[in-house]
Amino acid sequence: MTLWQRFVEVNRPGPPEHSISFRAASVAAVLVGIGACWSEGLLSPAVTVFAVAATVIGNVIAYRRRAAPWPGVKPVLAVCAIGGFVWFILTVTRTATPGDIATVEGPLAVLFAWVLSTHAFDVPSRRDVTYSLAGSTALIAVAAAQSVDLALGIWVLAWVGCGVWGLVAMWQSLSETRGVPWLPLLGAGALVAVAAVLLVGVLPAPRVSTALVFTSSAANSSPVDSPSSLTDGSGALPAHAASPAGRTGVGGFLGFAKSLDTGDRISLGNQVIMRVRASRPNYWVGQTFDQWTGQSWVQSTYPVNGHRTQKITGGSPFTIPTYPDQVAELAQGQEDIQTFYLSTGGPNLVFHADNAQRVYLQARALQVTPDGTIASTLSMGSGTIYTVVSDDTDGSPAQLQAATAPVTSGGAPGATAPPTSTVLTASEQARYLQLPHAYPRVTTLASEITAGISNPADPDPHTYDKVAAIERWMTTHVHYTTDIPPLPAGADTVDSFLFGTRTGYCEQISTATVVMLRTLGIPAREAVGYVPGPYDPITDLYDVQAKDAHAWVQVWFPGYGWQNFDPTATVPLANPTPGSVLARSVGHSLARLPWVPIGLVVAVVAVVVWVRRRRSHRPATWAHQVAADLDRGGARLGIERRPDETISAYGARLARAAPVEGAGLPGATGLVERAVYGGVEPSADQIAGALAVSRRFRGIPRRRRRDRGPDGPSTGTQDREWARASSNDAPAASSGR
Amino acid sequence: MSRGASPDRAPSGWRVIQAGLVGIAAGLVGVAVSRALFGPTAAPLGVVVGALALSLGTLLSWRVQGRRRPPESTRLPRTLRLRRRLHPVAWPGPVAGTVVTLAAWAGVSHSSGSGWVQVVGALLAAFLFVGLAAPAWPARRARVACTAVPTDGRAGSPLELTLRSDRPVRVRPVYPGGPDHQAGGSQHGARTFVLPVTPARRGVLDAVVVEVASSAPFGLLWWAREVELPLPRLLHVAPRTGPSGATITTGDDTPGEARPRVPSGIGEPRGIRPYAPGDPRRAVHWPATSHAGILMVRESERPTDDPVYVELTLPHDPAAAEAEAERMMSGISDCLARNQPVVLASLEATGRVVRPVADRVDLGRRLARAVPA
Repeated sequence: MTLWQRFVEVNRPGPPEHSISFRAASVAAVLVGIGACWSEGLLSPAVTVFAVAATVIGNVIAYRRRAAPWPGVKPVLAVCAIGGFVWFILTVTRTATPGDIATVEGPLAVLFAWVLSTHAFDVPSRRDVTYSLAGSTALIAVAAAQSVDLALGIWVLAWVGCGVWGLVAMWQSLSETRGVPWLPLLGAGALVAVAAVLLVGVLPAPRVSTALVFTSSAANSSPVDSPSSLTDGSGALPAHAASPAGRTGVGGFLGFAKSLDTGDRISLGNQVIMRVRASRPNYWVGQTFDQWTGQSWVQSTYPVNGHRTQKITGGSPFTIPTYPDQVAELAQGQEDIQTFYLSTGGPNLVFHADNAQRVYLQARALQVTPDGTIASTLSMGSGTIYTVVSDDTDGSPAQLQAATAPVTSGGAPGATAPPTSTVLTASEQARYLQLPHAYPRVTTLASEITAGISNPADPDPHTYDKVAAIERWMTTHVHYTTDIPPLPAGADTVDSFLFGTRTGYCEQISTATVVMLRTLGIPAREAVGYVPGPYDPITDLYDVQAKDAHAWVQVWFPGYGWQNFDPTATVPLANPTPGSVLARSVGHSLARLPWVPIGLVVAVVAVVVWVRRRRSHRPATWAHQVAADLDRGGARLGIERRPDETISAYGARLARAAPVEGAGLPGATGLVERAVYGGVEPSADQIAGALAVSRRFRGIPRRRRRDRGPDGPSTGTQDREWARASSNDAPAASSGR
Repeated sequence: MSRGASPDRAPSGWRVIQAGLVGIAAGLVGVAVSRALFGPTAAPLGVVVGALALSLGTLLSWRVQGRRRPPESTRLPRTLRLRRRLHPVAWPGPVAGTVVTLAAWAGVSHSSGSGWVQVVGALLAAFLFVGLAAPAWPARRARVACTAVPTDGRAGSPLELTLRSDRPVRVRPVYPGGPDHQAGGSQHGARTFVLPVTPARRGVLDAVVVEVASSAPFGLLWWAREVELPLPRLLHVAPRTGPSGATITTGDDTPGEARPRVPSGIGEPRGIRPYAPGDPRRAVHWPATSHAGILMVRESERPTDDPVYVELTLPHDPAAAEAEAERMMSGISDCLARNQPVVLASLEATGRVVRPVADRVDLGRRLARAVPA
């Protein structure tokens, strides 16, 4: 057969498919895919209605014409498909944003819906219906690429159900079976679920591609009337700057404002603020504060070294300038790509990992302050999406130690600071060492904490060692709690915290740390933002909740810039694997189950089922019991009853093979034959004796194969009874195994 | 090969390779699972889990390899090699399609950064894995038995076997050949169906070979195994009837083996007629001859009461033996049609048999049982 002949043979239409169940499942799967795309906003209502109607009508017509399809339908559908592809290419080249996959997903979903709905008019054979069923996978995949929450799970579950139904129906059609295949449906569904869970567990987390995820969207956003201020996120047009009369009373939104009042007590809940897809978990900073008043943190408004707030224009992507104190020439960082999907309206802050390089946001301009705070000229409404590309410049402990090693002639060998041109200017040092007043007790405490960390080889502790020592002290000497009394008016937060109750949350702890570091002459500042919330192994996103708002410490190191330190929270170094998260979630869920009652119920059910099975398998008469015992004992010996063998002959054969254990078998089997076939009913004693003999023989020790006698095992033992029972007139039939 | 023979084992080297491959695959799965669940730092634990999985996988593969094979029928051709081991049917296409699909999907989903795409890909992979691997279970567990078979058949002519299966399977006759049959019907319970087979050659069958296949639950790939089904009774397959008018060589009955076996009552006298060439000399009626002056013979209702003695000698070549048997079938059938008794001497498995042929059915059985010298 030539290649062309084989090609023609393979593409020859098959016999018409008559299974309505199979066709219905295929239609349902396609409709679920269309619905999933609509739910993710990829298809407009009009397109959705058309696709649904065309799919249903097309399949009905195709079913009616399955035996004799219209010959002209294929050319028409081919033209439709080509037209769809042409439209897709034109649309993408006209509207797609380079690197933004989201602008391609919409037209792609429309194309898939168009192809599947037109294909529905030509599905006469099983293969065509299978193509439709497989095509629904493409629709679900496009919807999955767009989804950032678990709401898609309902559509995915429905699609799985339709898929299992459709494939089982296809098998039913192949095997010409009828009836509802409950067992295959449930069994196959369970197998698919287990296999999928195992696969998700072992697959590594998806990597954020550098070319596909520069997503941005400005849904529900409005321009800010005063870009230099933070909005209150009320959604009004234009978004007004926050005021002390606002929701939080400090002129901010959900903890973010122009100042950070550590005396304020705000309770934040579990509301999901945003979902973040990132190359690695990190502190996503929103603001930093450098001026401490004793109760509040405030951002400097005066220019430092001539650097003022910059307005970056030109549209997306925005290139963020790097200020001198942010230069990290010694750090060899990798790109950290973060995409933020806002679930609720928030301040016009662009949260980001440190050292943001580019921002992809559908705004006209950004405001960037010298400390790295980025504010948008658009308020961030629900549905806003933006992407930030940062330079991950976190230094290792060894690197940071070396960065601040003293350069003295008497220093330890190798204890020289690496050459760097980045140093804080005098004004910058003054800024980041600012204190409202002297803290004698804090200074003494900090000195005491850092006094004992030197070693004989290197008597002069480095900056990193001091910071780490204070961080350790905080971990062990303070108590983290959000339930603390209000700060008395006029009291100093740090003094009250360190020399009072030593209980507080991130603001108090980080503020105390910054103040202690500043008393030691170490440049430090307060940073606020979000820490990664719970990681969702399904969506591969971090669900950042309101309570994940956090304050931490940033310390400046020459050559590495600002480094994050946090005594109260730990951010992992890498995204967790979906499997480990799933396993932990499953473990926690299982641990919470009441195992004792469940175990009792399972045990009771198992006992009941076992008793009922034993009763159902109990031999009807004593003669059946004797025969069953002989069969069992014979199986242990490896001697099975032949189809044409009487019970007495079998008993004699067993007795020859096991003279000791089978001594009474001929008598017992003779008794059975006389009773069953001769009508001679034995006495109760005789029956008891026969049963005792057979029962004793039943427990004969199992013999290894090489120890068995000439009467080796014959074939088809297990199925002999089945085959005999299945054949009314074939006493010697046995099944093939 | 006699019954109860020792198990036929695959070459030990191949067994070792197969066991090793299964063990390695199990070990890799174990390492991957432990790494995924416990992270890359739990390498020692992963090694332990992998080693356990490797050991269990190897043991399992050895156990599967060491299964005892049932003894083969004595009447199936020795050249017939049964594929008893479960195997996928026409697997390259589905497997290649699966690999390509999943590889492409993995590449896209892993670099898309979307967890949902990876989840959908995992579901798709689960569908494909279950569809490709799950049919092995019902194909292995299926039980098929032959419950009824005709006693006689003819080579080249279809005959019907009644089979019984405990689940929906596809049955394809291997020996003798025939069309596939889907044992459909209800989802549960046993079902009886008729399987037409067409024996290609004469012979006596005590078992047939069929391929039992299943593609449950998804119908993506068939898994099959060949099983030998013992027949409830022997099936005699007569040779085809050769061209009519075939001449058969009568044998030399000098030893008189046929005479004692000639049944009495054959050849009732009918009259006297002149001698015709070919009439046996024993039929000469001397008194009528003396009266007529010409040779006169007795004419019986049946042409002769002397049976035709036929010596069947089959060559060793199967094709030639088949041709000879067909010729004998045709010739002796013609004799029987003329009410000519025939005594057939043939060699069977139990020894030499010289016996009159009672009828066409008996002839078919005798020829079916005949073996070369």
